[in-house]
Amino acid sequence: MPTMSGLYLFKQCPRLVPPVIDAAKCNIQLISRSLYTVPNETLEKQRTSPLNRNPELRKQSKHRVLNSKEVSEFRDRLPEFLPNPNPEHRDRISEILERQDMVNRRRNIDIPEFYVGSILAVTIADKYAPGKDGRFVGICIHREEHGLRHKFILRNVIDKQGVEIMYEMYNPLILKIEVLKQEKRLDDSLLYLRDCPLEYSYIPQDLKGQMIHKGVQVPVNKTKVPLGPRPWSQRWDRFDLKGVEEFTDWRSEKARIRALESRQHPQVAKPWEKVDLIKHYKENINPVEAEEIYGEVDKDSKNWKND
Amino acid sequence: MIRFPLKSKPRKFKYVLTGCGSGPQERVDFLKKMVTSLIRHERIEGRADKMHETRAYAEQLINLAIQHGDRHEPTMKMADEWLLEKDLVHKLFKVLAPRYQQYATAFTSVHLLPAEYPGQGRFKAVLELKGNPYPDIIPRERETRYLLTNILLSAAGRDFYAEQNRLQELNTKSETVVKDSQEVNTSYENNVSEISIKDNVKVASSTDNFKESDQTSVSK
Amino acid sequence: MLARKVCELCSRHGRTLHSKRKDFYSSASKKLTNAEIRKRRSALFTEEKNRQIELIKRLNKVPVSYYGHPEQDGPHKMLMNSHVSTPYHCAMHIDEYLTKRSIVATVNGEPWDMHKPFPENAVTLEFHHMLDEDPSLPNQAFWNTGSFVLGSVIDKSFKDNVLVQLYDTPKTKVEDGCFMYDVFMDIPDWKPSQMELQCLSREGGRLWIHELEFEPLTVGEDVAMKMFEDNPYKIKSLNSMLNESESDKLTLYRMGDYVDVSTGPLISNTSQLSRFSVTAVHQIDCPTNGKLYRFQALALPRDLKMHWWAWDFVCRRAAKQSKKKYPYRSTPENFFPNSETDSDREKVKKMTGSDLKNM
Repeated sequence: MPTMSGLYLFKQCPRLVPPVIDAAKCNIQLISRSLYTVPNETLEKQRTSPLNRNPELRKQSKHRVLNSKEVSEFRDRLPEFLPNPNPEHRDRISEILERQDMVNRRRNIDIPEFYVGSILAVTIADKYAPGKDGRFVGICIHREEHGLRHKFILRNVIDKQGVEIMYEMYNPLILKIEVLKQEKRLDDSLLYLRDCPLEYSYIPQDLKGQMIHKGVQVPVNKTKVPLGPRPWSQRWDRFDLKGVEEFTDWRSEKARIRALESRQHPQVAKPWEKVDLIKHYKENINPVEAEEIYGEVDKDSKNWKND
Repeated sequence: MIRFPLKSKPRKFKYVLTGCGSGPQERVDFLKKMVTSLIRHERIEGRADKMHETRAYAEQLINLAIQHGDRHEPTMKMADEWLLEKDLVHKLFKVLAPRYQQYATAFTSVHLLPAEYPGQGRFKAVLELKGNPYPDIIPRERETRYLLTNILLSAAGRDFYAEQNRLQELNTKSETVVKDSQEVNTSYENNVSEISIKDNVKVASSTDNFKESDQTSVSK
Repeated sequence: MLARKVCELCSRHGRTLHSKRKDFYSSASKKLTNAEIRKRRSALFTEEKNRQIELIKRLNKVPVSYYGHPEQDGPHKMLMNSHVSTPYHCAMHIDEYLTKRSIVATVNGEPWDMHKPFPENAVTLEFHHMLDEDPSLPNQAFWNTGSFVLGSVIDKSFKDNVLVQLYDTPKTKVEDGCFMYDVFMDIPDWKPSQMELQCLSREGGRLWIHELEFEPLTVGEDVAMKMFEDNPYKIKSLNSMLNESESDKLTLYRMGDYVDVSTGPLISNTSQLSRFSVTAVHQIDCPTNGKLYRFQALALPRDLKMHWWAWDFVCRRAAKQSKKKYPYRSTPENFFPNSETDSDREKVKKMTGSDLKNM
C-alpha cells in the first residue's frame, strides 16, 4: 500500500481511522478525571458477571485474613501502598497496576522499612559520576504521595549548607537504600529542621550503619529541637509540633500574646474537626479496604528481596 | 466501612439550628444531638438531608465501637463526645456493637416520607437503626411459596419444563441420527433403547428385531 | 338435569360391563352392597363412640391455654372437660371465625384433630389454617383428608353389583400432585371414560354443601377388625398398621356415614373443601394383592383459589401415572412393586421418621 496521508485514509474508510485529522489543531480540554473513570461498583459487577467472556474468580488466590493490629502495623511500615483517599482522585485500575509494579520492584531491590527521623543512605545511578553511582546520607524528614509516586526527603548539611534531596522510592535509578539508623521522632514530618540550627540536621557522610533487628519495636527519639530565629518557612507555632522546644525569642510580649491568641482562635484551632468522624473516615482508607490491600501485599512479601 | 454512598462534601446546615447561630461548630453540635436521640430512640424523624447526615455519623460511631471495643481510650473519648446522654455510651458498646458485629449491610436505614402539600419543597425522612423493636416501616411480605396451590403449581411447572427439555434433547439426538441414511445402521445398533419422536422413524427394541423394512421407513 | 343424565350414563356403562358377570353375583346371595356395609360400619362406629362416652364416670377439668388470633383480647385460658371437649369447642368459645377457618390444631406441639377430645393434663392449644406462614401441617392434613374423601367417593359411586374393597392409600406429598387410593374391584380392565370421571368428581365436589364433620375415634384392634371383616384387603393393611405402630390403637374417622381408618390428622369439616376432581384410574399390579385400581384425585381447600386454567393444568399432571414408587400409609417397609433396593428402603425409612412433614 502506498503511503497515504491520514486525510485520504479518513475519506476512504472513515470508520477505521478516527476522525481526528490533526491532533495539534484540536482543542485539548482538561477534563476532570472522575468523569472518565469507571465507578468501582460497575467495574466489579462486570468483572464478576457470569456473562463476562473471560471470567476471573473474585479472589483468585485468597490471602491470609489480617487482624486490625496487623493492618495498623502495615500502615505504619508500608504507607505507600494505600491509595489517595480522595475519591475524586481514585482510579481502581491504576491502583491495581501500580501495586503490581511496586511489588515487582521490591522483588529486585531491597527497599527497607524506615520512618521519618531515620538516617538513610541512598545510592543512585549517575552516568556522569566516576563510579557511575552517587551516594547521599541524610535524615529522612518527610514522606509523601501514594503508590509509585511515593517520595521521601533526605536532609543533611554539606559545607555548612543545608541540602535536601527528594527521592522517588520506586525510581529505577535508585541502586540501594540503606538504613544507617532506625528511629522515629516525635513528629510525622521534620520539615521544621529547615528553620533550626544546622547542627541538628548534620549527619556525617561516612556514618556506619547500625545493626537493625527485625521485629524489634522501633525506638522513638524524644529530642526536642530548638527553632532558629524568625522568619521561618512556615508558621511553626501554629502547628502542633511535639519535637520542638517552646519558642522564646519573640519580638515583643504583644507579638507573643497575639501569636498565642491566633493559635487558640476557633477558626485556627478548629475544635470541631477533632470530633468529625466522617472527615477522619474520608481522609483515610477504611480498614476493610486496607485489609484487602495489605493482605495481597503480605502474600507477595515472601518474594521480596531482603538484604 | 460505611456501606452506603457518602456525599463528597459535607452538608452545611445554613440556618439557625441550635439557637446559637450557624457554622461548623453548630453543625457538629446539632449532629451530636441527632446521633444521641437516634441511639436512644432507635427511630427518629426529621428533614431528609439532616437524617442522611446523621446516618453517616451514627454508622461511623458504631463502626468504631465494633472495631476497637470499649477498652480503647480514643474510641471511648469519641463516644463520650458524641453521646450527650452518658448512659447511651453503655448501650453503644454493650448492646449495639454486639448486635451489628456480623452485619454485612449498613446498620441504619432511611425511608423517605410522603410529601406534605403545599409544603416548602423539603422532604421528611425516618432514620432508624436496624433490628429495632418497633414494627417494620416497610412491612415484610408474607411468604406464600408454601401455600398448597403454589406448591402444586410449582411442582407441575417443574415437571412440564423437565418434560420439554427431555423432548428437545431427544429431538436433537434423533435429528443427528436420521441425518445420513448410511449411518442409520450403526447408530441404531448403538442407541437401541432410544425413543424417537418423529412418527416416520421406527424404533428397534433390539438389533435382532431390526428389519430392512424399518430401515426404508427411516431413510424417508 | 345434566347430573342425572351423567349418572344414568355411568350406570348404563356399569350394567353393560357386568352383564357377563351376572352369574357370579347372583350366586353369592349373602353378598352385601356397599351401602349396607357402610351403614353397618357407621352403626358400629356410633356404638363404639357411645360405649367410650359411657366409660367416663366423672367429668375432669383440663386447663387449656390458647395464644393466637385474636391477640388483642390477650391469651385465652379456658377450663374444658377432658375426654369430652375438643379444640373445636375452644374455638367456639373464642371466635366463630376460628371455627370456620381452622383446619387442624396443635395440642402441646402435637398435631391434633379439631374434633378430637383433650387428654387429662394441661394443654397449650394452637390453631392452623391453610394461609398460615408455615402451612406444612395444614397442607399435609388436607392431603390426608383428600385420600380419605376419595375413598368415600369411590365407596358411594359404584352400583350395587360392584363390590368396592378399599385397600390402602399410598403416601403422597403435595409436590406429587395428587392423592391416591388403591381399590380392589372385581371388574377386569376397566378404563373410566371422561363422563365417569366427572361423575366421581361431582360426588366429591358436592361434599361442601353437606358440611360434614370428620369425627375421629380411637379404637382397639378388635373393634377395627370387626368393622372391616368383610374386606380382606383392609384387614391386611390394618394388621401391618398395627405392627408398625407402638400402640395397639387405631384411629377411625367418620364423615357422614362413611367410616375409614387413617393416620395423621384430618381437616375439620367438608365445608373447608372446594374443588374436587378425580383425574384418573390406573391399573396396577401388586404382587401381594393382585390387580388393583389406583384412583388419582386432586382437591383444593375453600380458602385457596385457583384459576380454571391453572386447575386444569394441575389436573392434567395428576392424571399421569407416576413411575415413582409410593409406600403405603400402613406399611412403610414393604411397598410395591418389588423394590428390593437399599436406596429405596433408606428413602422410605427417612420418610417414615417422626417428623410429620415426612408423612
